Amino acid sequence: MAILKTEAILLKSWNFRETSKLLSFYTRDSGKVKMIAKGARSPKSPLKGRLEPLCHLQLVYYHKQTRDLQLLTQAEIINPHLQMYGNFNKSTLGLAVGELLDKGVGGQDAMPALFDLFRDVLDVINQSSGFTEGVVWYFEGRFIDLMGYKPTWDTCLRCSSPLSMKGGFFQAENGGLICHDCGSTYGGLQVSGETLEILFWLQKAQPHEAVQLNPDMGRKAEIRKMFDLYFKTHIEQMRTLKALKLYYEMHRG
Amino acid sequence: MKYPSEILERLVTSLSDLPGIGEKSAQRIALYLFRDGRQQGEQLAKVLHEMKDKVGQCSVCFNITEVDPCQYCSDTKRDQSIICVLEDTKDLLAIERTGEYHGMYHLLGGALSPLDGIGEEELHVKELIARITSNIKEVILATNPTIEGEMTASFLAQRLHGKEVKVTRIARGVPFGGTLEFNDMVTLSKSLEGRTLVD
Repeated sequence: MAILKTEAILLKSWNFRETSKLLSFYTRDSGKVKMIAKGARSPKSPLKGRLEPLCHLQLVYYHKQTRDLQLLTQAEIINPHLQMYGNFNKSTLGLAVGELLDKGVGGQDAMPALFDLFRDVLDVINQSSGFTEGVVWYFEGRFIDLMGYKPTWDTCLRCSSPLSMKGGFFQAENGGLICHDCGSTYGGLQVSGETLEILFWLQKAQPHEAVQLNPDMGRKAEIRKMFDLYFKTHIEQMRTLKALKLYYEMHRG
Repeated sequence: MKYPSEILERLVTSLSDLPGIGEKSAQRIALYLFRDGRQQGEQLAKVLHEMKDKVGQCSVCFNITEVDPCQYCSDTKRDQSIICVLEDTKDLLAIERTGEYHGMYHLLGGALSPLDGIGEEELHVKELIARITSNIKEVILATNPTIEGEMTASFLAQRLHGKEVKVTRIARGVPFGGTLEFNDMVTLSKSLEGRTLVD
């Protein structure tokens, strides 16, 4: 058994027995790790108030290869993402990012770049005052890239011609877009030139810049649909992210 | 069969399905009821039956009650112009223990938790909105200070926006008898944020 120290972000927690908590973390050094925090809900526990979803923490835990549930002993807050508390938009969008990571990443392989992306995006959502959903799109684009199934955004999958401002057709199962001419034969989800422009821009942007986006309802609907379709195609048993669904319901009409 | 009696086995299984009771504890309780506590067992069975038949939910505030509306909703001495919004009955009991609150209640039946599939439809939100009439002066959002509880409070505040009612949130801060040194960062930050003027 080893005592390990790592940075982590809490994805989800469940109450266990009278005072304990079961926790699912995304850690920088070991990927997704499930832990138990014994007595964490008792009033005198030093872990009380530290184990809330989306908290960025420094953990110390006992790791044993042969068991699925590791034992958490210490947790120090690095960034509690305080602005998310009490802000419906920020908390649902933060949870949506965590939910995508939880569903899209399987095993315990460490991916420090993904951890850093997750942390940076949560920091921006926490601080943001603009179009926060843009930061989620930024995360989705980078996540696809890091997981190794980035679609072909810039050229037609069929004829290799560059995709113009006329837009194109998105084919999630083929991993990219086809041009307007090919689309009339092969079909797909119709995407406007403005939407493509936003997606190109996001690829080069920094997370804090994504809040500057100001898309109209049509572009929002297209981008949401594209990502949703793509994740459902590439992640097993994936459904529309529940946190995003709640966010959309609140912003309906 | 693990036990000498099939009924005993069913009792152990039923008891161990209850929260906080493992198989060992369930076995101990079942054997006690069989050997020394037959009378208590009978009483327990009777109470469980009565609970099933007579205890339900208040149609106004969704508290647990034997009469509808419940004792709080039908008490004319209570302040009818304030509604305290809570997650469930445990929270109501805690507020009642303080003896400081004399208004009405509304129990949501939980908090928004998108990851567990609990959305607006699963909670008594529509019923709360329907209760906000011109007689209501204040709605106190007293959901738990967890991320789900805070999200629910923020969601309700948005839903109540535009209604002619004061919407307040319970304060958060250092516990009485505690020391600053042992408080977590979030609690301390929130208590500084919500500091009040000293008269």
